[in-house]
Amino acid sequence: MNMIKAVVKKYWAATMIFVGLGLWYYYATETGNALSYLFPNVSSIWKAFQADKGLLIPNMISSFEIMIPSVIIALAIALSVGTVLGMNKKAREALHPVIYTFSVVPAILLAPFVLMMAPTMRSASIILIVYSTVWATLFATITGIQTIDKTYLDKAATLELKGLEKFFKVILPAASPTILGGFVNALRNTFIMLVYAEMYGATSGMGYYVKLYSDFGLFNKVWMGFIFMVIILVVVMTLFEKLKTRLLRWTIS
Amino acid sequence: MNKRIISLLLVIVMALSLVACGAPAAPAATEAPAADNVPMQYIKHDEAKELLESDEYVFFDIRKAADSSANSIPGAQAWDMDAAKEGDAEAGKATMTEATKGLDKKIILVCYSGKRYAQAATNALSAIGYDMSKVYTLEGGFTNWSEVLPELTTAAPKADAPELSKVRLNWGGSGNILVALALEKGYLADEGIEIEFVPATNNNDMLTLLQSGQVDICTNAGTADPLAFIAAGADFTIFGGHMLQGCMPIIAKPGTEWNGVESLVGEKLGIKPNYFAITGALMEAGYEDPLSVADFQPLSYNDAVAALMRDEIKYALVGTSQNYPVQQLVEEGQVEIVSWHGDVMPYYSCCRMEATTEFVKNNPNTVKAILRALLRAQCYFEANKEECPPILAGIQGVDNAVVEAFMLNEHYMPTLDPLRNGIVRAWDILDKTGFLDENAKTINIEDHINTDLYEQALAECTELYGAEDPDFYARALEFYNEWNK
Repeated sequence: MNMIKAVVKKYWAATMIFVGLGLWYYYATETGNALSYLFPNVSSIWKAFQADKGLLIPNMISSFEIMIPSVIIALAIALSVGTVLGMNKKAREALHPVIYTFSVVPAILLAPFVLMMAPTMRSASIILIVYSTVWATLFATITGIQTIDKTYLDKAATLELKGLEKFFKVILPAASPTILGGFVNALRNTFIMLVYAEMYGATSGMGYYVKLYSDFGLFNKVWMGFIFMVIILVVVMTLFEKLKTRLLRWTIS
Repeated sequence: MNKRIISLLLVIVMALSLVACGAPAAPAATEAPAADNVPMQYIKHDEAKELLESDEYVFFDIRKAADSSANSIPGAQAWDMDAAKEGDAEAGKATMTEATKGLDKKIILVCYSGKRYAQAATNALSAIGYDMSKVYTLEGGFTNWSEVLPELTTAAPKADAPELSKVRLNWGGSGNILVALALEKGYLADEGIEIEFVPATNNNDMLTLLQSGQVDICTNAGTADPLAFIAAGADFTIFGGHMLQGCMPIIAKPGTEWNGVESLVGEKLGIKPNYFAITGALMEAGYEDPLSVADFQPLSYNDAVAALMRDEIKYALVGTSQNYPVQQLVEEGQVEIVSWHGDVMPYYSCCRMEATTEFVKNNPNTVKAILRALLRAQCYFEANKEECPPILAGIQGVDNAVVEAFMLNEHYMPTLDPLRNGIVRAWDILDKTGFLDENAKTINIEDHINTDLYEQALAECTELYGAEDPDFYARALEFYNEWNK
């Protein structure tokens, strides 16, 4: 009972905002104030849910099959390259222009080039998602390491910590608040890129579903797919926030 | 003593060779009848092969049905005489009575080696009173024939057999009713072709996959985009079509005036500037530079509808797949359909069917086999349009009504014809409006169009299936002659 009370107390404001948005949408569509083509009424979205609810979980699994390896690869690249550049001023200064150049190219414009060069369509989808998500974590890693409080490093020197031990016990934990902050942004980008990455090589997936029905102008299904994707995103982000809190339990906040 | 034994063995071997079915037969001679057997007259394979096309002769393959269906002499009729060979004379007579009903031809009997099955059939034919001067047995039977003339067997690879049994095809996000029907009705299976679908929904992605060899054939990438790829150096060959016209409405707010394509002049349009049917129609109306007389906004179909509702544009062109929601907007009185893409420029060429030139050159029989299957599908579609929406709806995972909204509309025209003249027209318009690479000036687009394979496929289909719907094949040929010569 106390737990329910705590949840209500914590999320009542967010719930009210969502309920308010829902009511506003309902009112606008029922009174004909919104274009029915793009804003179908709530009962139409509900019908789409009833018809396609069996597809939701398979779509989610299909998307996760692309997203999970993409996120792992992006994280590995960002952490390894970011650490080198964060700890080595010369390398950082030499490579910053290159990283900035590539990071400003929108991943969605790369699709045909990646398709042409990637060995398979699945790998093309993964490359595209990695490309769009790696930068936020990479820059966060560089900044996180660059801005480590000098006292940590002094203490590490006093304790004669060196090499990997110093990296895993001092540098990575000290930079982790910034790195994890960057990673949250990266996760959000992953969901955005799904819609593009699932335009080829996929016959199911949350992004594929939204794009397919958008091409048919069936926006009740688009809204249903969109709402489902948002719910999954919120669940994933909430789980990640919990993990982040656990990882950063040594910090003040 | 040894000589005696050897002589005796020789006699036994010779005697056995006379009765064994597998033994070599006496050449072109009358077989000595055993007991009450009717004498057989033999014909050699080199004489028999000259009679394959003859109207005076008919070949009876009298081996077991499983064997004659697996491999036989082309055109031979299969009459299983296994029961008769095993001694059931009545069964043999019944089979031969059935086989010779109304027949007045010379018969060439084909069994395994020209012995026991042939003898049973000869006896049966004699018993039912057939003129035995007209009955021959193929010397050495099918065993000898298939060794000496393997190319003249039904299992022999045909000269025009498809080079590939599996073809990778992309049909965009909206599918292709001709391919769907050819699969559903087994026309592709008849040709021995299996389709592997490669998913991609964006025209550029589809054509990139084609260029990089990850797809063999694209059917839904439109006309303008494949031409732009060719102009930029992609070696594609267009060899067929998908939609001659899409079902694409031009919509406007209710009450908007429409006096033909000239109504677009001076207006802001939700129409992409490389939609050559619109710019081409303006050019035909006397506007040399159509892009300067109207404001073409490169909006997606959904964005164009939204912009129209916000009065940001005056006319919007909407895609074939979006007819269902557009119909609802019309019913609600929010928009009006003022014209259609296909009315502005009839037979404008919506989607072409293309592959790399290398693929078409290396696999002409495969391409032809696919074209034959799709022609039969088009024939079926035109005769049974009402039945077709559920087939595509099932594949797309949409309600029947969504597909019916465009498929049953007269503007929707799935047509396999390659439409050479339409492609050349589109190429010229796109070139004049600046949508082709500079390189286009050095390219003869006709080098990237192959109409021969379609013409051959049409002739073959007319011969094989023309009787099923003579009007369809006559129309298809007339259309071909009008648009490809």
